[in-house]
Amino acid sequence: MKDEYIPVVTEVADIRTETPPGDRMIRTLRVQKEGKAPFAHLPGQCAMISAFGRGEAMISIACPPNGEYLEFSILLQGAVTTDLQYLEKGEKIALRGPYGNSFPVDEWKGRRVIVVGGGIGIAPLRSVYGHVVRHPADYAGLDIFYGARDSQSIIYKQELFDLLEKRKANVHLSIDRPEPGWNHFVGFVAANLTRAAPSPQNAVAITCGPPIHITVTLDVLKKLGFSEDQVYTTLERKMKCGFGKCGRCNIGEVYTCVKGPVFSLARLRRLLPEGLPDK
Amino acid sequence: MSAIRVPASRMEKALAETGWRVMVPSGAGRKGGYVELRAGGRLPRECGDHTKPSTPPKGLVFPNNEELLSYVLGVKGEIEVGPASHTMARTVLYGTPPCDTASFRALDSALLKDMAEPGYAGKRGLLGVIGMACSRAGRWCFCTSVGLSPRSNIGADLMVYPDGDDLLVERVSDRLDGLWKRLEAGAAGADEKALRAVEGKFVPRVLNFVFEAEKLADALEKAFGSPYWKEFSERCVSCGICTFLCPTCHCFDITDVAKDELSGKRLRTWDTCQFPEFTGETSAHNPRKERWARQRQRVLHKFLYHPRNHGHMMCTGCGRCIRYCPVDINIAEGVMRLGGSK
Repeated sequence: MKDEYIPVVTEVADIRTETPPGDRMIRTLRVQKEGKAPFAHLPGQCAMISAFGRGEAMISIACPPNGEYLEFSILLQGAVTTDLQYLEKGEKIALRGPYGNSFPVDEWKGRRVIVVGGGIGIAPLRSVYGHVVRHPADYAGLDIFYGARDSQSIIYKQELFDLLEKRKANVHLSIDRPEPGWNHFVGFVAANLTRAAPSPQNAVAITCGPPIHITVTLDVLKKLGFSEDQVYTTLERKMKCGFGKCGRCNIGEVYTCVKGPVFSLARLRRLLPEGLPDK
Repeated sequence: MSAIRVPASRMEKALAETGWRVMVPSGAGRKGGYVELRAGGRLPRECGDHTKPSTPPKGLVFPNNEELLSYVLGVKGEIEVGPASHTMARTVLYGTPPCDTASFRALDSALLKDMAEPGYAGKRGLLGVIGMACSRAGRWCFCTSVGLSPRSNIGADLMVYPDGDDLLVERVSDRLDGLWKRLEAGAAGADEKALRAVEGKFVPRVLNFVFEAEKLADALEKAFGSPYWKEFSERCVSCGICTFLCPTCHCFDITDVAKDELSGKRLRTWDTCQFPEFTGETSAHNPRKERWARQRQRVLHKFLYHPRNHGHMMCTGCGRCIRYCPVDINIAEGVMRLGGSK
């Protein structure tokens, strides 16, 4: 019988420093095992990453399935994610997974995909927009709304500017407060979304970010005419085991680590009110 | 033949011949829980609230501390992971009252279905359960309200009904067939009628808390937003004893214990939904930061979520959570108030 607790030991093949060093530092780790992805995954799935001596943390896989590698964008926050900031390229990293369900990107073929990310919440959504970018013929278009507190905190900068420049996606960036030299939107992501007002016609919208970001984004999407089965989110919950046993990530009878973290708003409404973000 | 009548001494002899470790209830109110029967020791001849230990049997196969893996790190970042063995001596639990016996159905559903929890799966495969019909209900008992009874054999591999110096033994599963064959050889068969006749002796005299299981899930779902949760949990001190002493509660934490900077172990330990930080996320968001939300989770996990996922309640009516609560929170009364009342 497979021992689910035993992680696979992989190698840090590359590291990108996304934000300047500091107490909210974000780095993207690319991991490989013998030059390949350690396991196959679907957009939206997660992995449990070990920092031995500290513990484990559930981190969403931030790249689309590609067979070559997995990527994780890690924000310095707790004991595990602090330890992971000290890893160097070429060192080993242990992880297990993939866990959870995924965004139904195959069902969405032929439709326009609208991504609404706030802060580090853009990381799980990158597995979706990355997939759309890799398969442009399958989708009717791609909009990426993404904001952070300031310009230094914007991650995937080069990639997003490239997408904009090569017209592979409509990228709508924002920061919370004005800064000299910033020529994109200033204000919350939801305000940027209201301003651009994408049509719900033949579209799906996905959102992730802090609870307040999700709450406000859901309100805006509703006002724009998106129905609840056109809107998807991915939820953060404290997780320890990752396979539906340890008892803390449930929303009603649903364990987020198994039947989540991806939920359509329609499905979330059918669960008990605990599932919806705090107001 | 699925039931036989044997002298109680024959069970003692047959169990001794197997060489298996035999665990029996240590007695009511004692801290010892289920203890190993010493060689030549007498098996309990009856069971009831007066023999039920304060600690349920779950710890035998789901210990409070279990090693999940060990690790050794190299100075250049190498990682070596060693799996844990998840094994124990072949063990038989003997004389568990139906509430504790049925706890294994709930634990098996929660921990073995879909992806198995490796620690529990390893030990559970080495455990046999010989349940015993219960002849004395206590004032905290409510097994008949959760789909069980003093005679129920749910969770048992063999079920024993004491009858004078004899035991009627019923074969419930094939897990203890090694023992069953020893008992069966030359033993008198017991037909359905004989079994039912003896069963009839195990009827509770008094049951304090009566609610209707069938209506409960729907009523509780409607009561999700009820103001009663605050009243129910007002005195709660979040100590978690209700869950640690619960025979079916199984929520756990995983923590690393470093021996030094380069080696250590990863442990699984009991945890409780009653601790404020149980669901606390690193970002400081906490979906169940209020006491009432945590007590609601305990009640709904047992009477709504687990039944929906597995078809039976995650409560066996043993009454420990009521008996040992330092502030007298009573889950049975709570459930009755929230709509399960007859």
